[in-house]
Amino acid sequence: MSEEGFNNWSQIGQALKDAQGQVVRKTAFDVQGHIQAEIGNQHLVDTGFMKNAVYVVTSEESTYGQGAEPPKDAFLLEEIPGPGDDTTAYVAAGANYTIYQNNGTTTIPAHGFFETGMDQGRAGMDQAMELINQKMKEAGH
Amino acid sequence: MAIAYVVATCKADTPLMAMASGVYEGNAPIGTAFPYVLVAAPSPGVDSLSGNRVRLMTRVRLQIKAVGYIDQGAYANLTIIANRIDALFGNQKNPATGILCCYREQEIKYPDPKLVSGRQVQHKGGLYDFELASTLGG
Repeated sequence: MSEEGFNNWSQIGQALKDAQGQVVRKTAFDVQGHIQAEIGNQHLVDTGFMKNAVYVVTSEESTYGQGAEPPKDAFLLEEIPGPGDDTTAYVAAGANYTIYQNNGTTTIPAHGFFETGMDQGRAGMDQAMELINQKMKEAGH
Repeated sequence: MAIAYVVATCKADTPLMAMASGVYEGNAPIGTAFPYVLVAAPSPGVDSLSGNRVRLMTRVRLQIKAVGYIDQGAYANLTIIANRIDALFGNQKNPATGILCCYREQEIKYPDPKLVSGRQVQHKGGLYDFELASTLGG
Protein backbone atom coordinates (compact mmCIF):
# COMPACT_ATOMS: atom_id res chain seq x y z
CA MET A 1 0.00 0.00 0.00
CA SER A 2 1.52 3.26 -1.06
CA GLU A 3 1.61 6.35 1.13
CA GLU A 4 -0.32 9.23 -0.34
CA GLY A 5 -1.73 12.43 1.06
CA PHE A 6 -5.46 12.98 0.98
CA ASN A 7 -5.28 16.76 0.67
CA ASN A 8 -3.01 19.81 0.67
CA TRP A 9 -3.89 21.15 4.09
CA SER A 10 -0.31 21.16 5.35
CA GLN A 11 0.87 23.20 2.33
CA ILE A 12 -2.13 25.54 2.65
CA GLY A 13 -1.43 25.98 6.35
CA GLN A 14 2.21 26.77 5.70
CA ALA A 15 1.33 29.23 2.95
CA LEU A 16 -1.10 30.97 5.30
CA LYS A 17 1.52 31.12 8.05
CA ASP A 18 4.09 32.53 5.62
CA ALA A 19 1.66 35.19 4.41
CA GLN A 20 0.76 36.15 7.97
CA GLY A 21 4.44 36.41 8.84
CA GLN A 22 5.03 38.75 5.91
CA VAL A 23 2.10 40.92 6.98
CA VAL A 24 3.38 41.07 10.57
CA ARG A 25 6.89 42.04 9.51
CA LYS A 26 5.63 44.66 7.05
CA THR A 27 3.29 46.05 9.70
CA ALA A 28 6.13 46.33 12.21
CA PHE A 29 8.21 48.40 9.78
CA ASP A 30 5.16 50.47 8.87
CA VAL A 31 4.54 51.17 12.56
CA GLN A 32 8.18 52.14 13.01
CA GLY A 33 7.76 54.63 10.18
CA HIS A 34 4.49 55.97 11.60
CA ILE A 35 6.07 56.47 15.04
CA GLN A 36 9.08 58.24 13.56
CA ALA A 37 6.83 60.42 11.42
CA GLU A 38 4.72 61.28 14.45
CA ILE A 39 7.82 62.26 16.43
CA GLY A 40 8.58 64.65 13.59
CA ASN A 41 4.99 65.87 13.31
CA GLN A 42 5.01 66.79 17.00
CA HIS A 43 8.30 68.70 16.56
CA LEU A 44 10.16 66.49 19.00
CA VAL A 45 13.29 66.22 16.89
CA ASP A 46 16.41 67.95 18.15
CA THR A 47 19.40 65.70 17.51
CA GLY A 48 17.31 62.96 15.83
CA PHE A 49 18.57 60.33 18.26
CA MET A 50 15.18 59.43 19.74
CA LYS A 51 13.53 59.27 16.32
CA ASN A 52 16.24 57.17 14.72
CA ALA A 53 16.54 54.88 17.74
CA VAL A 54 13.03 53.45 17.23
CA TYR A 55 13.70 49.94 15.97
CA VAL A 56 12.07 46.70 14.84
CA VAL A 57 12.89 43.17 15.98
CA THR A 58 11.47 40.24 14.04
CA SER A 59 12.39 36.58 14.05
CA GLU A 60 14.69 37.31 11.09
CA GLU A 61 16.28 40.67 11.78
CA SER A 62 16.74 43.65 14.06
CA THR A 63 17.28 47.31 13.20
CA TYR A 64 18.58 48.07 16.69
CA GLY A 65 21.36 50.64 17.00
CA GLN A 66 21.31 51.91 13.43
CA GLY A 67 20.68 55.53 14.39
CA ALA A 68 22.98 58.36 15.31
CA GLU A 69 25.22 58.52 18.36
CA PRO A 70 23.39 59.53 21.55
CA PRO A 71 23.80 63.16 22.60
CA LYS A 72 25.13 64.33 26.00
CA ASP A 73 23.74 62.21 28.86
CA ALA A 74 21.44 60.09 26.67
CA PHE A 75 22.15 56.46 25.95
CA LEU A 76 20.83 53.50 24.00
CA LEU A 77 18.75 51.06 26.03
CA GLU A 78 19.61 47.38 25.87
CA GLU A 79 18.21 45.58 22.83
CA ILE A 80 15.10 43.51 23.46
CA PRO A 81 15.29 39.81 22.54
CA GLY A 82 13.67 38.72 19.30
CA PRO A 83 10.34 36.89 19.14
CA GLY A 84 10.28 33.12 19.10
CA ASP A 85 8.07 32.84 16.05
CA ASP A 86 7.71 34.55 12.69
CA THR A 87 4.19 35.83 13.27
CA THR A 88 5.35 38.15 16.05
CA ALA A 89 7.38 41.33 15.73
CA TYR A 90 8.32 44.07 18.16
CA VAL A 91 8.66 47.81 17.68
CA ALA A 92 10.74 49.32 20.46
CA ALA A 93 12.29 52.57 21.58
CA GLY A 94 16.05 52.62 21.90
CA ALA A 95 16.57 56.08 23.39
CA ASN A 96 16.47 56.06 27.18
CA TYR A 97 14.36 59.24 27.37
CA THR A 98 11.65 58.16 24.92
CA ILE A 99 9.32 57.15 27.76
CA TYR A 100 9.44 60.68 29.19
CA GLN A 101 8.53 62.29 25.88
CA ASN A 102 5.86 59.68 25.14
CA ASN A 103 4.24 59.35 28.57
CA GLY A 104 5.08 62.75 30.05
CA THR A 105 6.78 63.95 33.21
CA THR A 106 5.93 66.52 35.86
CA THR A 107 7.05 69.20 33.42
CA ILE A 108 6.57 67.63 29.97
CA PRO A 109 3.12 66.71 28.61
CA ALA A 110 2.52 63.23 27.23
CA HIS A 111 2.95 63.16 23.45
CA GLY A 112 1.80 59.59 22.81
CA PHE A 113 3.58 59.17 19.48
CA PHE A 114 4.03 55.46 20.11
CA GLU A 115 0.31 54.84 20.57
CA THR A 116 -0.54 57.05 17.60
CA GLY A 117 1.93 55.15 15.41
CA MET A 118 0.52 51.82 16.58
CA ASP A 119 -3.02 52.94 15.79
CA GLN A 120 -1.97 54.08 12.33
CA GLY A 121 -0.33 50.73 11.64
CA ARG A 122 -3.30 48.74 12.90
CA ALA A 123 -5.47 49.71 9.92
CA GLY A 124 -2.89 48.48 7.42
CA MET A 125 -2.56 45.16 9.19
CA ASP A 126 -6.32 44.67 9.27
CA GLN A 127 -6.51 45.38 5.53
CA ALA A 128 -3.68 42.98 4.72
CA MET A 129 -5.22 40.20 6.82
CA GLU A 130 -8.57 40.81 5.15
CA LEU A 131 -6.84 40.50 1.76
CA ILE A 132 -5.51 37.08 2.79
CA ASN A 133 -9.01 36.13 3.88
CA GLN A 134 -10.43 37.21 0.51
CA LYS A 135 -7.77 35.30 -1.44
CA MET A 136 -8.53 32.13 0.52
CA LYS A 137 -12.25 32.51 -0.13
CA GLU A 138 -11.61 33.00 -3.84
CA ALA A 139 -9.34 29.95 -3.91
CA GLY A 140 -12.04 27.90 -2.20
CA HIS A 141 -14.63 28.60 -4.89
CA MET B 1 -15.74 64.24 25.85
CA ALA B 2 -13.98 61.22 27.30
CA ILE B 3 -11.55 63.45 29.20
CA ALA B 4 -14.40 65.48 30.64
CA TYR B 5 -16.11 62.26 31.74
CA VAL B 6 -12.96 60.97 33.40
CA VAL B 7 -12.19 64.23 35.16
CA ALA B 8 -15.77 64.59 36.40
CA THR B 9 -15.88 60.96 37.55
CA CYS B 10 -12.60 61.33 39.43
CA LYS B 11 -13.64 64.57 41.09
CA ALA B 12 -16.93 63.02 42.17
CA ASP B 13 -15.21 60.03 43.74
CA THR B 14 -14.81 60.64 47.47
CA PRO B 15 -12.17 57.93 48.16
CA LEU B 16 -10.01 59.20 45.30
CA MET B 17 -10.28 62.85 46.26
CA ALA B 18 -9.49 61.99 49.86
CA MET B 19 -6.07 60.82 48.66
CA ALA B 20 -5.29 63.13 45.74
CA SER B 21 -4.75 66.88 45.83
CA GLY B 22 -6.57 67.34 42.54
CA VAL B 23 -7.35 66.09 39.05
CA TYR B 24 -5.73 67.78 36.05
CA GLU B 25 -5.82 67.57 32.27
CA GLY B 26 -2.58 67.36 30.36
CA ASN B 27 -0.20 68.81 32.91
CA ALA B 28 -0.64 69.98 36.49
CA PRO B 29 0.22 73.60 37.27
CA ILE B 30 3.77 74.10 38.57
CA GLY B 31 3.85 73.77 42.32
CA THR B 32 0.80 71.47 42.57
CA ALA B 33 0.97 69.38 45.72
CA PHE B 34 1.63 65.65 45.27
CA PRO B 35 -0.01 63.25 44.83
CA TYR B 36 -2.39 64.25 42.09
CA VAL B 37 -4.27 62.59 39.23
CA LEU B 38 -3.32 63.43 35.66
CA VAL B 39 -5.52 62.71 32.65
CA ALA B 40 -4.13 63.08 29.15
CA ALA B 41 -5.17 62.13 25.64
CA PRO B 42 -1.78 61.52 24.09
CA SER B 43 -3.15 60.26 20.80
CA PRO B 44 -6.20 61.18 18.73
CA GLY B 45 -9.19 58.85 18.73
CA VAL B 46 -9.90 56.28 16.03
CA ASP B 47 -13.36 56.14 14.44
CA SER B 48 -15.13 52.91 13.55
CA LEU B 49 -17.16 53.46 10.41
CA SER B 50 -19.94 51.51 8.79
CA GLY B 51 -19.68 50.31 5.17
CA ASN B 52 -21.20 53.58 3.98
CA ARG B 53 -18.82 55.66 6.10
CA VAL B 54 -21.15 56.52 8.96
CA ARG B 55 -19.40 56.81 12.30
CA LEU B 56 -20.58 54.05 14.61
CA MET B 57 -18.29 54.71 17.54
CA THR B 58 -14.96 56.24 18.48
CA ARG B 59 -12.14 54.62 20.42
CA VAL B 60 -10.09 57.00 22.52
CA ARG B 61 -7.04 56.08 24.56
CA LEU B 62 -6.43 58.10 27.71
CA GLN B 63 -3.52 58.09 30.06
CA ILE B 64 -4.84 58.23 33.61
CA LYS B 65 -2.25 58.13 36.35
CA ALA B 66 -1.29 59.15 39.83
CA VAL B 67 1.80 61.32 40.17
CA GLY B 68 3.52 61.63 43.50
CA TYR B 69 6.45 60.95 45.79
CA ILE B 70 7.42 57.38 46.48
CA ASP B 71 9.70 57.76 49.50
CA GLN B 72 8.78 58.11 53.19
CA GLY B 73 5.83 55.77 52.81
CA ALA B 74 4.25 57.80 50.01
CA TYR B 75 4.38 54.94 47.51
CA ALA B 76 1.55 53.16 49.31
CA ASN B 77 -0.69 56.19 48.75
CA LEU B 78 0.28 56.32 45.11
CA THR B 79 -0.69 52.68 44.74
CA ILE B 80 -4.03 53.26 46.43
CA ILE B 81 -4.80 56.09 44.00
CA ALA B 82 -3.76 54.02 40.98
CA ASN B 83 -5.91 51.14 42.18
CA ARG B 84 -8.84 53.50 42.68
CA ILE B 85 -8.39 54.81 39.12
CA ASP B 86 -8.47 51.23 37.92
CA ALA B 87 -11.62 50.51 39.90
CA LEU B 88 -13.32 53.49 38.24
CA PHE B 89 -12.19 52.88 34.66
CA GLY B 90 -10.63 49.41 34.50
CA ASN B 91 -13.68 47.52 33.34
CA GLN B 92 -16.80 49.60 33.04
CA LYS B 93 -19.86 50.00 30.83
CA ASN B 94 -21.96 53.13 31.09
CA PRO B 95 -24.08 53.36 27.93
CA ALA B 96 -26.39 55.98 29.47
CA THR B 97 -23.52 58.47 29.32
CA GLY B 98 -22.36 57.37 25.87
CA ILE B 99 -19.37 55.52 27.32
CA LEU B 100 -19.99 52.10 25.76
CA CYS B 101 -17.10 50.62 27.71
CA CYS B 102 -13.71 51.42 29.13
CA TYR B 103 -10.87 49.16 30.13
CA ARG B 104 -7.18 49.28 30.91
CA GLU B 105 -5.10 48.50 27.86
CA GLN B 106 -1.73 48.73 29.57
CA GLU B 107 -0.31 49.50 32.99
CA ILE B 108 2.23 52.31 33.21
CA LYS B 109 4.72 52.89 36.00
CA TYR B 110 7.93 54.87 35.70
CA PRO B 111 9.98 57.35 37.70
CA ASP B 112 10.14 61.02 36.82
CA PRO B 113 13.58 61.82 35.41
CA LYS B 114 14.22 64.65 37.88
CA LEU B 115 13.99 64.85 41.64
CA VAL B 116 11.41 67.30 42.95
CA SER B 117 12.48 69.01 46.17
CA GLY B 118 15.16 66.36 46.41
CA ARG B 119 12.64 63.52 46.35
CA GLN B 120 11.81 60.84 43.77
CA VAL B 121 8.49 61.20 41.96
CA GLN B 122 6.74 58.33 40.23
CA HIS B 123 3.98 58.06 37.61
CA LYS B 124 1.64 55.12 38.23
CA GLY B 125 -1.57 54.29 36.40
CA GLY B 126 -2.51 53.03 33.00
CA LEU B 127 -3.52 53.57 29.42
CA TYR B 128 -7.29 53.20 29.25
CA ASP B 129 -9.29 52.60 26.11
CA PHE B 130 -12.72 54.21 25.91
CA GLU B 131 -15.29 53.19 23.33
CA LEU B 132 -17.67 56.08 22.82
CA ALA B 133 -21.07 56.27 21.17
CA SER B 134 -21.02 58.20 17.89
CA THR B 135 -23.02 61.01 19.49
CA LEU B 136 -20.14 61.91 21.81
CA GLY B 137 -17.59 62.66 19.13
CA GLY B 138 -14.36 61.75 20.87
